[in-house]
Amino acid sequence: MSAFIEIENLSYAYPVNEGETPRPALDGVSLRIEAGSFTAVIGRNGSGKSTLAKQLNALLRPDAGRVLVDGLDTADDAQIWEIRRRVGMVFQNPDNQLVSSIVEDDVAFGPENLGVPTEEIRERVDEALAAVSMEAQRQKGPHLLSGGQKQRVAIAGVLAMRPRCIVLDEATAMLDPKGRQEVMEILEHLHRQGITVVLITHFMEEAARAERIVVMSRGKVCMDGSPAEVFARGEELRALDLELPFAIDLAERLREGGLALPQGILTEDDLLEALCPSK
Amino acid sequence: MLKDITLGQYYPCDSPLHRLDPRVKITAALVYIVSLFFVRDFPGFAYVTLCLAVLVALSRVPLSFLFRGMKAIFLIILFTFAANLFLTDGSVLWQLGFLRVTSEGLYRAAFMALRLILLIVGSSLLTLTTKPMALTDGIESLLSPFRRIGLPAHELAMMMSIALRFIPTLMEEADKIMKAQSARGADFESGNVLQRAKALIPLLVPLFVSAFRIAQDLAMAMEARCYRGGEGRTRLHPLKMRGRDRAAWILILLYTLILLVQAGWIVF
Amino acid sequence: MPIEVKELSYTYNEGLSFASAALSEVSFRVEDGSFTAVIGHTGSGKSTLVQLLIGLLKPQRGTVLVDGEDIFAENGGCRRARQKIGLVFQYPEYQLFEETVAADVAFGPKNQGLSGEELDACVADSLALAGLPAEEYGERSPFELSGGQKRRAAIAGVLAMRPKFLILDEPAAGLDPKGRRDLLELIRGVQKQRGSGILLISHNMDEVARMAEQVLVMDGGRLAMQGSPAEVFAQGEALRAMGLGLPAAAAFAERLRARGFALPPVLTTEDAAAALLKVWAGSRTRRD
Repeated sequence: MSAFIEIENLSYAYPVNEGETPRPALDGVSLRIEAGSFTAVIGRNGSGKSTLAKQLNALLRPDAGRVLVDGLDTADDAQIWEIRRRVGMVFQNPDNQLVSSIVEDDVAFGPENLGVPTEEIRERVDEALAAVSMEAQRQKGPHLLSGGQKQRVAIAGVLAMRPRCIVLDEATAMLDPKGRQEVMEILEHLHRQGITVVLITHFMEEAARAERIVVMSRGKVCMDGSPAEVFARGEELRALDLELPFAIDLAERLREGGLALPQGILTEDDLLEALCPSK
Repeated sequence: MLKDITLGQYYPCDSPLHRLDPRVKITAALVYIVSLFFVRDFPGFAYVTLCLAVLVALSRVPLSFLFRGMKAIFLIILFTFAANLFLTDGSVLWQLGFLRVTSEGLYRAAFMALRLILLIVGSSLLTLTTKPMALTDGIESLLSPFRRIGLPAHELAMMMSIALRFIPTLMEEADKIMKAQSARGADFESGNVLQRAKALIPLLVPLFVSAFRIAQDLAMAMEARCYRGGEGRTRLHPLKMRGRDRAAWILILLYTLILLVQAGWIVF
Repeated sequence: MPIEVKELSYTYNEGLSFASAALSEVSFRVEDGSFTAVIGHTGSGKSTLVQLLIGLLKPQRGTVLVDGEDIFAENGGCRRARQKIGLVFQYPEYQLFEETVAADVAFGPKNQGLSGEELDACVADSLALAGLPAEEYGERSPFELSGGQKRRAAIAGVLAMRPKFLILDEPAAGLDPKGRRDLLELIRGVQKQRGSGILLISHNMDEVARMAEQVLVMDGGRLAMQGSPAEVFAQGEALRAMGLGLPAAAAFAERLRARGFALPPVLTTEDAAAALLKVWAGSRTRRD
């Protein structure tokens, strides 16, 4: 059975000026993302994770290899609009992706582009705003919203297109802790509803909440597994200039200090249980 | 702080004027502005003022809002008045040195100033009673017949609404940049015109760069949401002519006819 | 060169219908060469406060004393304050404008009256401190640098004014973990090499716990709490009520204490590990 997204030997280099040698941003990446899964892609700045994200909705097209989204080839010009309907994307800068001066008009932007009839646009906008808990702010201007609220509006704008998958390209990088929490809660909610979630992030705590973590470095995939599997390789992660989430880091230190802790501790709750099991 | 002032000064409330189709209001504003230049005498202006007063009452916009626009243009009105007052030849009423006030000058000054005031108040009624989004939709619709001769009506309207959307963002950005450069010792206040213009470079260059960055990011986000121009786009708030709009068209026509007859442009 | 603030109050758009009080009667003192962190929920007045410290805003009430001088008392007071206090805004890379990195870094010292060799030396020194050696980066256009490099260039521009005090508003915002670590190293370097005092606004409690000697907690425009990181982060309840978190280790230690663990106050992961191992060793020897 084919996966929702199939990436086969994908290579890509950003165009450069005359005389400069192109550096590959992606180098022979192969990956399968199953429908309904929650995948986190982590890596340093420049590791290629953002470039990979933009290959998933045909904003960038492969130089070599191919990307199949729900069976559609991203290299096919005729298919890119259908691909972009099925794979929505939320970007890093909350402000620069909101098109309209009024929240509900911005959420309507996607369906309007798809030629959805007016009545149905109204329904979809209401649904999407409810899904991100922003109905009360529907008439507000974006400059009156916090960063977290703007990102929620951006997510609603994507949801109004009824996508099967949502890709977040470092969407929490510019938010304060409260805003990040708001966005993560919505993502987990969407995942439970069966939407495929691909989260590009450099926050290890966020990656720990995913089902699967893909670690990238210099345009290649160097690790791919469950959070337990990936975070067990602390040395390698540190060599890649990545960190461990707090609970995993602490558990490791305790084990080094002689404390016998079970494997598979991922969250603070896990560690808490292991240290003092509730009676 | 500046965030709270919406540019275009839309005054939110529910009035007969607010409920009119934006296309009617835009056309009315254009007709009104042009009509001001066909008025020949003060009785004519009295008629226009009466019509305007009725519209202002219908709009339920408080007078203080209405005259806010005046404050900004006050100097221009004053200048117009003074220029016409002192520079018109004719029978002298009063003289002080080389400052001469003639009766013709007085008449003209009052005439020009009144026209200017009526122009500003009338056109601000348009922006006060129409949401920016509705305005750009209205303009797009009115311009769409000209698509046949190559006018990119949709693109123009989209550009306008995006510009309106980002005005508060860019104002905030400009404020931040000015503060950052001031913190580095930049002086935007002192010096002659040339010096002050040069001092603006540390503000304008980063602002332009920001604007380009915003444009790039936004274009990508729009494409990701399947934007590909105006073809086949539907609207959440489509424009629809209703009974009251049709009535408004008739009133606009009547207003124009009466004005032209009064001023003697049409004779029976 | 201490900075002292007394009863400082500021209202945006005073007199208009949409006026909003941003600061109310804030008073504190930071000493020469010290490292102070300012924390608070978004909108608590942190950014307003730092702008007042260098006279970018004028307070309705209260005084700001920089090196003993009331900066709002005389003409030129604010200008003098800006010579002594450098302010790095959030996302400072958005203010780069010159044709070369060196020229942009030179903007500040030029406004101070430096020129010629003295200016070049100053620029080179600041670039070196910021980790962007002048030989390699000086002549490049700031717009072709990477995001992290641009940020360093912008910081170099502020460092070039040789401020005795450096204020940074969330300097690591938007950076990845390594970028964040490197930047904090840079700040520590500045404090050590130049003896500058540092005032850091941050949302990251872990880095506040690690680096600050004193913490100022802002809440709704008021200074709600003040003290060492250990003192401030011991008040978990109060901080949570203000919408703030604790360093991960401190929060976790609280949860452990709630389950009966007797732990001393901890701020960092290392502290937590050491404390837990001690407790565990203690309980083992008791059993043996």
